[in-house]
Amino acid sequence: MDTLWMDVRLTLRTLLKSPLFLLVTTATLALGIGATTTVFSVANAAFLRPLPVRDAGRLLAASEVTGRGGMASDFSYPDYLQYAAAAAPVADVAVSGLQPFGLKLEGAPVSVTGAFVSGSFFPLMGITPAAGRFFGPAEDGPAVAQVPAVLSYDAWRTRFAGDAAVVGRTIVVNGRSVTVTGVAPKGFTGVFLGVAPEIWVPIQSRPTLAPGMVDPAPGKGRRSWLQMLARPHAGVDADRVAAALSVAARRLDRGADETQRNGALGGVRLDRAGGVPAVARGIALGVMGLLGAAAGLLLAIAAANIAGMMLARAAGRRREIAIRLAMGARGGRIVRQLLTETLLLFLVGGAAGVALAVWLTSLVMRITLPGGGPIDRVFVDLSPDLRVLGFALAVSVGAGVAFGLLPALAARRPEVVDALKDGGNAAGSRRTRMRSAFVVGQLAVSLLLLLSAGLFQRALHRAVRTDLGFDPRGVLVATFDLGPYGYDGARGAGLQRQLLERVRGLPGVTAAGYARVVPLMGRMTTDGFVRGRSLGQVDFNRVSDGYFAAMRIGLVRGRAFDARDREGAPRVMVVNESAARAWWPGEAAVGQTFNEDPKTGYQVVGVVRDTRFHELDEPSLPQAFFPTAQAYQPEATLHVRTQGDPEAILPAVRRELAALNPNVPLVGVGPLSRQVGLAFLPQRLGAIVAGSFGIVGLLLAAIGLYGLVGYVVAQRTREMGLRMALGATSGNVLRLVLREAGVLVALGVVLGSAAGLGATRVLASLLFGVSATDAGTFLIGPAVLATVALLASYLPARRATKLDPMLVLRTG
Amino acid sequence: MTETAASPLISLDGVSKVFYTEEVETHALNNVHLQVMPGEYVAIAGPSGGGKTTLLSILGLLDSPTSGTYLLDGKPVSGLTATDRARIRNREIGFIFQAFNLIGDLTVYENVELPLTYRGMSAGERRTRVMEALERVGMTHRVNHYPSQLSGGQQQRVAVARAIGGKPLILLADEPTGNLDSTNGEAVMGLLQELHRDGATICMVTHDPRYAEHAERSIHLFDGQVVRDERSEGAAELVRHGFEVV
Repeated sequence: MDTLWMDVRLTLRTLLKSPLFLLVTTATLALGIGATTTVFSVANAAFLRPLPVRDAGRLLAASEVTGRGGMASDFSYPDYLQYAAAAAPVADVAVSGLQPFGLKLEGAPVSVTGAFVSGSFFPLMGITPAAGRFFGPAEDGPAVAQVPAVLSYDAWRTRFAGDAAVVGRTIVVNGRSVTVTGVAPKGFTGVFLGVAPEIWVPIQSRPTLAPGMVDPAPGKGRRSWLQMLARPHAGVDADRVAAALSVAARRLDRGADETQRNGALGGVRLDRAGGVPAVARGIALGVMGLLGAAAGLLLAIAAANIAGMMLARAAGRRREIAIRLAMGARGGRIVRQLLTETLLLFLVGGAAGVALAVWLTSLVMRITLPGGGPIDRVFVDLSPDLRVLGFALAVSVGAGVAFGLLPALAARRPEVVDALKDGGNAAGSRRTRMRSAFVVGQLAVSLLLLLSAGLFQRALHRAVRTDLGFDPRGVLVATFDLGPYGYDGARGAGLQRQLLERVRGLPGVTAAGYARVVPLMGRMTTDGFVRGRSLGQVDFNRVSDGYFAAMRIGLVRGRAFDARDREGAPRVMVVNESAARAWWPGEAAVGQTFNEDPKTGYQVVGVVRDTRFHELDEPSLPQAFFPTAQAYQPEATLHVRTQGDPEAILPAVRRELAALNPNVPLVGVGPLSRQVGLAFLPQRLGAIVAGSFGIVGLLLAAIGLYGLVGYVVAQRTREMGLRMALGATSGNVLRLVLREAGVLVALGVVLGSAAGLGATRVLASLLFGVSATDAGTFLIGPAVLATVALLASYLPARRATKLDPMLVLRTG
Repeated sequence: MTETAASPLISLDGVSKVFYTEEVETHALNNVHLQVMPGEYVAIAGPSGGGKTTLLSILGLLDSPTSGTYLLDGKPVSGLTATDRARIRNREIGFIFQAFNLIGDLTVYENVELPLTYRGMSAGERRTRVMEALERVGMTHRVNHYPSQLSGGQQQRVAVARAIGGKPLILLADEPTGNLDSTNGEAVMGLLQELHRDGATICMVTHDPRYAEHAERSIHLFDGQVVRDERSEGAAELVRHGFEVV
């Protein structure tokens, strides 16, 4: 131990004497370890971090197992009640469902994400409030006079300035008064990954706070929107709870009403609550695997750089190692000492990497993705915990050993006698070969990252140039829901109509309309029939007059919706070209009849161009449009086309809505182009991540090559001087050095391309119309790598041409 | 005069060393027979390329003979593992080099302490040994200095302290004055002489006849062979070193 401390002390002393070396190695490792730690921080939040609740390991999330092994994690409230009754002997259960709320603060409604929870929710969590108390089952009933509410810690701090007197105060949510009973503890953000509700209210307050969320009457369908959680009673294991719930599932499956699934419901499975839901875990694991692989490759490049530097350093220390051996040090002792040095470097780099990861994750946490549905914004706590720090430590030590061992083993047996006599200036060809191998590996891995970046870039390029069938530029979208505010159909439709007229009158607005669903942000389907023939599930949207103009969706035949298409008038619809072709082949679609069920008929009045409305890379699918004016929906999304920046019109839109009802908040607000951009997210993320990793990897590989060529040139100074004394020109010397570097680059390109051909296939599903072996990318990537690598070689090679032959030969 | 000696400390019997470089064979040592008794002070002299350093490397277990037998303290070294050889170098051999070969990043104290750390000796015992050795060479006032802060003569004295700190059976010195001016060279030779008087066994490579005269015995190597083996001291001196004069 005491000799280990001596090694550490000596290493620190020598490192501090070479601040530039320390800086370069620390920065290099910080990039590699920082990238892997950042990716792990995301994986930690997604899969590993337990919820901050009592005995988190025993809090379980339920999923229904559907036909053919599928899973569904959303439950309806009536189903939950049956599950709760079945599980009562063995477990406590609760549900939680997200809901946007309009919270009135200082007179203006603010849209916040909230959650309806069963009265059993907070007792199930087993947490202690930061202030006040939680509500329980007794306050989760239809007869409760005053609706209780619990604020999140962040909402309490930011929206109410941490005022303890907020407990017991009445606040206005969705235009109704609720009483704050307590504040959740710091760090508790509910049970949904990526969403941090600011307010929790009892689920039975839905008729008051969100009438639109009330369950359909028995036999009229099922609204599945709740996450169900269970905590086994003491001494009961999860399997017993799952078995009890599965019995209830089979009873539901055989149910006689609309909830029956006709044998599609196989049972219930339970997984640890928190993180990515079980239903999405496979996809999330795949994405994290790709990110982890990319970060791992970057770390390998960085670590190989360090290994190369350590080899060069060891070459300069041949004499010291020889002295130690002559003094009786064993080979293992030398290896230990050199490994200690490498490990110290990796630990310092690891500490810097953690700092980088903290910064990167704080940047990621600041990114606001436009939410969909009830989610106001996506929030994932990526702050480092002990697990992240442990990972960074393990990666630092693991990579340090993996990449430090070879240089240490290579250095442990110098030619002792020669080293003691000549001072160790001779170049070790074995070490140079090993260092060359590291550089070839770096170049190959760097090319692999570059190829991935290139493929994603091309995919993104193609994706953003996809003809969507509509023009998202210059369009503002904003959603509001009149459901909680007591509007009946006539009054609600009246407000919507008035708002649309007011918005159309705003300066800069060229067109405006409503739609129920924003393209690429959701999907609605209904049964469809044509001449008694079932079309199966048909995609549809409910839109108002002015919508097609606002979206610049081209009218092909007939007409768009207009004032004629009101409540009570003949039911009409517009179809897209694919629908016209598929449903009435060889006939004119305009004038045809479409049935939503055998009784309700709609006459087709127009045909519009196909649009991408579900997936970016889907083929054109049939789609129907029904006028909002003929079927009132309390929730609607304004689509406003403006001449300038669409966000500039937002305050005016808010003002117009406030003039009609000051309590109704706008949610999901933003330029349509940003929301549509979410559809490009996989390609964009891929391009950003692979691009950043590719550029950093290329830079590190170039530094590695630069160092190697510089080292070789320094070792061969005498030879170069001799060649020049014998008549070699600068060009001859330059070519000599570059030829040797060129061989390494060529090897790196061949290996990297071969690896790329195999590895990029796993990206195929994310590449949106670009082949995983895209010829352009496989030509440009190697060309970029070769150019940068040869430039990195040229700089030290040029030094060799500046030698004074006589001086070199005299000084040796 | 015949001698029935106590066991020799070093015994080489027919030792040869051949270096192979590509297709060229270089015979650095050729059938060398040599015995060194405990307490003997032997100078190994000869021209450059004669095999002096190769012989010293073999004696110091830094290299192995191609053929022949080497007994150190009566034990053959040919079958020793690398670990055993390291242990013997550490405990039984002290090296003094022409270029001092101190480690620049270690202080005087740490340089002298270095071989002792490889023994697993306690810090307290190491301290005692280091200070004793430094006192012996008159360098206790420079314990916290780095080699670059010392003169050549001082560096070589530190190197001598490092060699004797572990109380080895034998000191191997390779041109210990080669990098020193005559004053410092004489001082180092005086130091070796003093160690010899106290009983140390010393083998010193030198090509300087003035310094070879300090030893009681001179071995001349030429083309890898011992061409002359001379003693410069009387029988009484030999007896003192364990020889029996018949």
